Amino acid sequence: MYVRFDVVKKLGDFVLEAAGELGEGLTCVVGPNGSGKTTLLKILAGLLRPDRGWVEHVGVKAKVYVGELHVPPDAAAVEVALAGRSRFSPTPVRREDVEAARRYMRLLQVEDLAERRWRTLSGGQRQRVVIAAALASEADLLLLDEPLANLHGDWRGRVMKILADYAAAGRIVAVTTHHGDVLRCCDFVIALREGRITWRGAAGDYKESLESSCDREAKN
Amino acid sequence: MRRLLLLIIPLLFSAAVLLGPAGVDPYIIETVRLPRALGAVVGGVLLSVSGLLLQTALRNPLADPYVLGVSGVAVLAALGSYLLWRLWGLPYLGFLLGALLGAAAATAALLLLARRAGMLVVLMAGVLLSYAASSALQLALLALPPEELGYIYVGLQGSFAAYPAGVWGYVIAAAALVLVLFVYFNSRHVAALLHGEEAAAGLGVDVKKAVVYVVGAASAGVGVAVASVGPVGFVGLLAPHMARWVAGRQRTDLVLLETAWLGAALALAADLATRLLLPRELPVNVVLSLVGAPAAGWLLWRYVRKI
Repeated sequence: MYVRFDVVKKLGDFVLEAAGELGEGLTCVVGPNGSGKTTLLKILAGLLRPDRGWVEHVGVKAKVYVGELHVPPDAAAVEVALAGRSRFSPTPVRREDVEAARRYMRLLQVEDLAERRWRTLSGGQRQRVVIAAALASEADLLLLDEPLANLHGDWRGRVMKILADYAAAGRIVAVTTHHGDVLRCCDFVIALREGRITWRGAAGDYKESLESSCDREAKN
Repeated sequence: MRRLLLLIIPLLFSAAVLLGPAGVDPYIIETVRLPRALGAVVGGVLLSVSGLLLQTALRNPLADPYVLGVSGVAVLAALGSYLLWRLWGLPYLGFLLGALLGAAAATAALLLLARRAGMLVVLMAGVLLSYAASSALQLALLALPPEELGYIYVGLQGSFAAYPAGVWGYVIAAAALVLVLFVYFNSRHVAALLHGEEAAAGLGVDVKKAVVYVVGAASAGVGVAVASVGPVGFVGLLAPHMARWVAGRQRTDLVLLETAWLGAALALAADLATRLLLPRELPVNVVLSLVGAPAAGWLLWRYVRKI
């Protein structure tokens, strides 16, 4: 199973021009803000159509992309985790869907919050529920936009470990991130700058520093 | 609590059929009260489910077919179509087709606007649409000969008494049931729209299909409701919120049946109140607006506070 792509996408002045491959395992797509990470993931998910080029999904049965989710403020956390089960059937969610959602919430240590209303959760708790939703899709191609947003310290590493384990079961997981400290958890790295791939390959070989993103974090 | 709610419809329905100034008169029950009670159930179900669908697709907790002018445009189109189809001797078919088309056009327009504008702009546009349709309706009524005015006017005001007795009443009820089942069997995909259209697509939902289903089902619901009981207000706004409160859930698939049930209960209760509690019968919209407008105000206040 793999995803190959060679695409060009113009968005205003910005041009993404990228070719490469995602294989089974965890791929980190890195680069500064506005380098085209999200655009690339959306194209691979089929949410954006490239102006030129192609995307080839070989052996992929289900692809899921999770970025920003709007949530009614009074929704219970488990209802958000259930969003990941959307692809399985058009009929109302069943007991098995709730069990799956809760299982992944447990993995992210947010099962206790299942009945809590969304507006009462912190940013980090919400993020973990959203990741649980993404995993509950059990898609073999999972594309996550900034899954580490709002997560601090330990949790960044733990989430990456969970995603790596999920990918290790013969799935493709790609995440965008600007956190250099988690790259050791990735199997592969794709580095983008100004819409072009500047580096791609096994994570172990990736030496380039992420100065720009570190600078930005320092400012934040 | 939820078990008690199951009893509420049989209770209200019995009251609607048995109570009234004429007492328990089989003739009155069969020709007047039964069709009217059925009209309240069918109208309540159709409007509440349509309201739920609009609230989901527009991601707007204040969406309601009446408030947003969908019912108003449907009535206007229905009357226009009625006048046209009368020329071919099929005025009532024309009325129904017009109501369906008008509801579809207004729903689609609001959905397109919601992609570009915020929630409050969509609400305001809906209110304006509603006013415009109401004025145009008054003008269009001038085209109707006075002898036809009496019958059609009841329906144009919104009244469960306008619901057809006999076989047509049951046909419409069956159609309403089919509509609810259709929505039920697609409600998980519809629920995903709550997270936004792009998010739903990312989750593996065919968003185009889901949106077409929502617009189709909401318009069919409002169209059939308007064609059978006229533009009844606020049921579509209140019932979904009552259902969310009862079920403790926000997802559309998890509150759909409760919404339909409570919509029917609300319509029955409002109709009973207009018939039995007031010294003289007033349009059911008077009672519904009396409850609905403050409730909408409260929902709006909650929304504004959260921004």
